[in-house]
Amino acid sequence: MAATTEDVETLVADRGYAAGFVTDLEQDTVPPGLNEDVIRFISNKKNEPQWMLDWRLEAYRQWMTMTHPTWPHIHHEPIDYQAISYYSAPKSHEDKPDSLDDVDPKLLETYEKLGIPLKEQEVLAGVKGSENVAVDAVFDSVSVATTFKDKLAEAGVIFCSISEAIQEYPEIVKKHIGSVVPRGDNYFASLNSAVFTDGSFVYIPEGVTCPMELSTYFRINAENTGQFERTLIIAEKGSHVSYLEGCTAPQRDENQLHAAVVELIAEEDAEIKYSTVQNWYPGDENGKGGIYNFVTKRGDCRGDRSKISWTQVETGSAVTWKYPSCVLNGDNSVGEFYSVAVTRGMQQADTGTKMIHVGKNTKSTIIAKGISAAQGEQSYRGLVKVVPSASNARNFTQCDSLLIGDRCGAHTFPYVESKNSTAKLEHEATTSKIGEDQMFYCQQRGLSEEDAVNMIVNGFCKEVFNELPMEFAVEAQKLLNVTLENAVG
Amino acid sequence: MIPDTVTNRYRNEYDRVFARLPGGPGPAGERQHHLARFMETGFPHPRAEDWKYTSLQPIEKREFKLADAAGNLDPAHVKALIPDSLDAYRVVIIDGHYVPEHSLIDGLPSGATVDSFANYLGSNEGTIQSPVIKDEPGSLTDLNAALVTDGAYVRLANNVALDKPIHVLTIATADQADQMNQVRHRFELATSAEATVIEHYVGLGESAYFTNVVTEVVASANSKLTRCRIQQEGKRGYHIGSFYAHQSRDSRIIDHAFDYGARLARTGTNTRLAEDNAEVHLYGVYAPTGRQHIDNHTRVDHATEHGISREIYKGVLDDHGRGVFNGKIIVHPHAQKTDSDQAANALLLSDKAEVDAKPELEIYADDVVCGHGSTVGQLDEAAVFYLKSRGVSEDGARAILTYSFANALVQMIGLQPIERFVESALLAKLPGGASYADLA
Repeated sequence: MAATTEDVETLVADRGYAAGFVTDLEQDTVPPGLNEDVIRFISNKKNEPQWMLDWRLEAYRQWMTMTHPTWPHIHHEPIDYQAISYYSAPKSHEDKPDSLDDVDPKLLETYEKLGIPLKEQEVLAGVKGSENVAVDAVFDSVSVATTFKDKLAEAGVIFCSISEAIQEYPEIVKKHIGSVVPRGDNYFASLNSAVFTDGSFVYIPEGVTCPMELSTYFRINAENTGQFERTLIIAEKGSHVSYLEGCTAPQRDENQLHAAVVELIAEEDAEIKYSTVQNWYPGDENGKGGIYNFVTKRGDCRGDRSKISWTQVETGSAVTWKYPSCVLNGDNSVGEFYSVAVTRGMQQADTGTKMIHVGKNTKSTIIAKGISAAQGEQSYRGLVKVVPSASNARNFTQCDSLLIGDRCGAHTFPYVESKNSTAKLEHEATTSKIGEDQMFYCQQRGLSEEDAVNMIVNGFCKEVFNELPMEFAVEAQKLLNVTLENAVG
Repeated sequence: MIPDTVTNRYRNEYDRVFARLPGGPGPAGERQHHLARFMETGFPHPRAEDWKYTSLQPIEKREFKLADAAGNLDPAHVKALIPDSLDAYRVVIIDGHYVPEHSLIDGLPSGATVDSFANYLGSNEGTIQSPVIKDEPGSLTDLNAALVTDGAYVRLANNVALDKPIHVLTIATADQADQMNQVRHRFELATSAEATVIEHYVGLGESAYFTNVVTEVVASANSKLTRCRIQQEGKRGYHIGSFYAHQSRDSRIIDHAFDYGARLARTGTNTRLAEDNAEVHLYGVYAPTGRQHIDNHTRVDHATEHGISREIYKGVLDDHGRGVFNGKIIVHPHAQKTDSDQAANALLLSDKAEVDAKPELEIYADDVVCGHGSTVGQLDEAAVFYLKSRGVSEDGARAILTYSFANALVQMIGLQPIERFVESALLAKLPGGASYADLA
């Protein structure tokens, strides 16, 4: 049920939108700019019900009253929100490189080091005609996805795109969307609420343990989720799910701005584990290009004894602004955050977490490891908040930073707010460089300087990698080595 | 007709007292400049990150006036405020005015100058802001520069070490409602000079008042300053304290702060290790009880190599007390071999109390060792039980344990009369503490 050309034309005429759209719907693109008509267009295009459109418009109106946050420790050119096209289907065929020969050799070099098969490289680099090849030859995701879907359906798990969910399960979406990250939560969340084009939807029914790790990896190759992704995961009473987001290979992407929203809901005794490997294009050595990654991720431990665990490995993007958080509402609920963030070149990251303790006996653990090399700038920014009702709340926070090179920066901004006298909160942070004695020891045992650095860095990140699903952990380790290549000496 | 805005009130006050403010044409020009800056920025906005947890609205709401002269206090009254058996030089400022009768600055070693800040401003070289200290941020410091009436001025020549500490006693009599004291101290230590200064703030009376104090320290090469700041403002007093230090090579500043008083207190302790191998120690105890709000912001700028900073702040919070701690350490590019360590601990004794802590590290050099730790917790129930089993009352057990929590920092002062004084002042704030005053 795609919108017809007439629909859009009527819409344009009704609204008196003089500039008009490029109404060739085959191309699925609106001209750059953001206004209510564009939002109506997106909603109409996706054949959304009225409530969804109203919700988007309300978010847009809220966004209009907000200003771009200035508190993060990051610097970038102001973003022109009117210069962005808010709805564009995958890039037109002509824009794509003809073969791998046309692709940035640096990107290929990285693929090589990560051991990615040639065909898969083509898909990631967006080479012409590679889509079908990828599906059939590389990992046969159609059949994988099919077997996958059967198995999930058997368990009663719903795993689909959010657009599909709005059509198929409107009552669930309507009930939960925006309940963890409200429309007006922050500048980027509001923008996302107004213009989100796709994302994932997961629903785990009561008592079900999801039979496999859910990953966006398969889906992302089939459809372009776009730059404003919205993910909603609901784990009903006593259910368990582990969700993997992202991909270790750097993806060719022309979209400069990514503003995603992820909402997790864990009911009584439910457990959600959310792992991310983010490796968007970081820009070149001089800081030209690269993705601006502004993400709002929040989990709500709604039920008693529920648990939400965030694990992230952040190596990409020119600018990262991301604080996966847990609101510990249920008594005895648990929140965890494990993070490794690497900045090199001219990359900047301001990332961390928020743990809001509301229920009794709630526990949270934060382990954040930052590695900064070359001219990378990195900040850990975290909040541990204990409200008066959170008796016996417990938090342990550890943030360590490793500096490689004398022009990088590592910063820590941990906020602790406690309003309950039975809460026990601990925070510790260290910043240092790789010890000369450690390097000397490794080198005198025959390791090259680079291997020594890799080994020490991997050891530094071990606590976080241990939290990742196995395959992911191996890849993440490899990724880290590639990222830090030539960072020393 | 000038609208009655917050900033205009202070401008009117400036116009009212301008002719009587100390200082010649030089300082007058400075005052204008700072007043203009204050008019432009006004009081810090509550949305500003640095003022997230502390609202100055109670100060903004009121219309404070400078006192025209020091309130009358008989010598016995002043003496009662002085720590027992403290042998020290003394500078007494009452309601923003230096009072020679209560002060004691005779017998100083040669090369040492101790005077009132007003006298210094009246001299040829007088400047409100030290030319060495460049970055004085904040509109409240501007307000102080525009309206400052008096304070203590200390200058030590090369190699002069003071034989006794200097006790700078700043008293607010709060004789009239809505009095304000704009006080400024400056301590200048030349090469290898040494001094101990006790900055002591006391509030009397029941009316609301506002003390806005700025302290500047110029620590030249190899000098050493020990500073104790004891803040015992009255229960309706508003205290804003700003400290700015510039440290040359091999200099040391050791700062001991005790924040006990005031309805609302906010202190900013800023030091810049401008040359190699300088060292700073910041130790603080804050104890808001009742409905007190005490906010300590510290900032250490490691600008060059081999700097050392050590910082420990401990909070004891009871009743509806609210404590804020923000410790910022900035290691600038090229400040290699920096060694920095910070700890912030808070003890929440009541469910109504709140603490907001934020240690901050900003590091732009790689060959450094920096760490910080922060904890919030309560008394160990097993320890309380142990003491109770030995016949100590519940309150008594809590007082003893709280006392020992803070005691580690008290013992670092190394000046017995002051140690005893700040300990008994802390015990007096705790329920049941008074009966254990002899612990101190």
